[in-house]
Amino acid sequence: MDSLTKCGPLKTKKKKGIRQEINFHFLTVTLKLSEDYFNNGELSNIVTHERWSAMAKQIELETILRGEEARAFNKYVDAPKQHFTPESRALFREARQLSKEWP
Amino acid sequence: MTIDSKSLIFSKLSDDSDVSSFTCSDSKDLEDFLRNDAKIRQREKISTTYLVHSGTDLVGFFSLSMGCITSDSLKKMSLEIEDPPNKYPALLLARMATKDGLRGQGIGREMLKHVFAMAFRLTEQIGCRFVKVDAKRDPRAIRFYENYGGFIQITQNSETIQMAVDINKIGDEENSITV
Repeated sequence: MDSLTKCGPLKTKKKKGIRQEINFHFLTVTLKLSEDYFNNGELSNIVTHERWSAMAKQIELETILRGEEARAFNKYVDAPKQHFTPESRALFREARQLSKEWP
Repeated sequence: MTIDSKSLIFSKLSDDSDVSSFTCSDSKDLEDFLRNDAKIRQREKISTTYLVHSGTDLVGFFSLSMGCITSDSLKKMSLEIEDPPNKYPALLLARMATKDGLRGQGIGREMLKHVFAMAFRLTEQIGCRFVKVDAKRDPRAIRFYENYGGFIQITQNSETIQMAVDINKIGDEENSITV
């Protein structure tokens, strides 16, 4: 709780009697909030700490390729089809058909 | 339990979705993601998760985000001059898992098919050149993506191998195939 209180008062949506999730950068804390919390809205009044767990690994959106990896990738972009297998071609075909069937 | 992969039901995760029955002992990360993080990520619009049911049983899931592949240009590498990197928009298959005991029945293939179908639809609306995946460092997973998706390995870290497939040429490929 020390690390939490260092964050200072948190502005959260006040909903009485429900569990509330507060997201920090890499952590999710589920808190059960006391009546006192709703009276003055300060984090120090939280009475039970239900869950403190590290979130799963972040989703890495960007891939950055340099050096040999970039060289190999650029070569691949010139001729990607040589890596298609009979199974992947069949899957692409089915996927294309499926995409056409969707409304 | 035998699964008919052709009768799988795909639906988007919602706040009401019950994911408590999903187990993936090979990768607790994936199980934890679905149970604890997927709904939060979806509310934050970081990723969207799709559930796959066989009847009422939750048998798999996958999560999608938008991503990007940035690659140094050949000109920069060969001539050692300043040249902006190539940037490619990509559909990122951030997570995908099949429930314990149900692997090898075509569920993963069906999920991958849906991912590509979504990519094809996306490319009609916005730029999307690649499908990219963060694969576990597991030879079976790598073989799966290479075999069924035509993916190649592009980079890796201590936990995952990043793979990608250029979907720009897939249309050409289909035209040359006799169905």
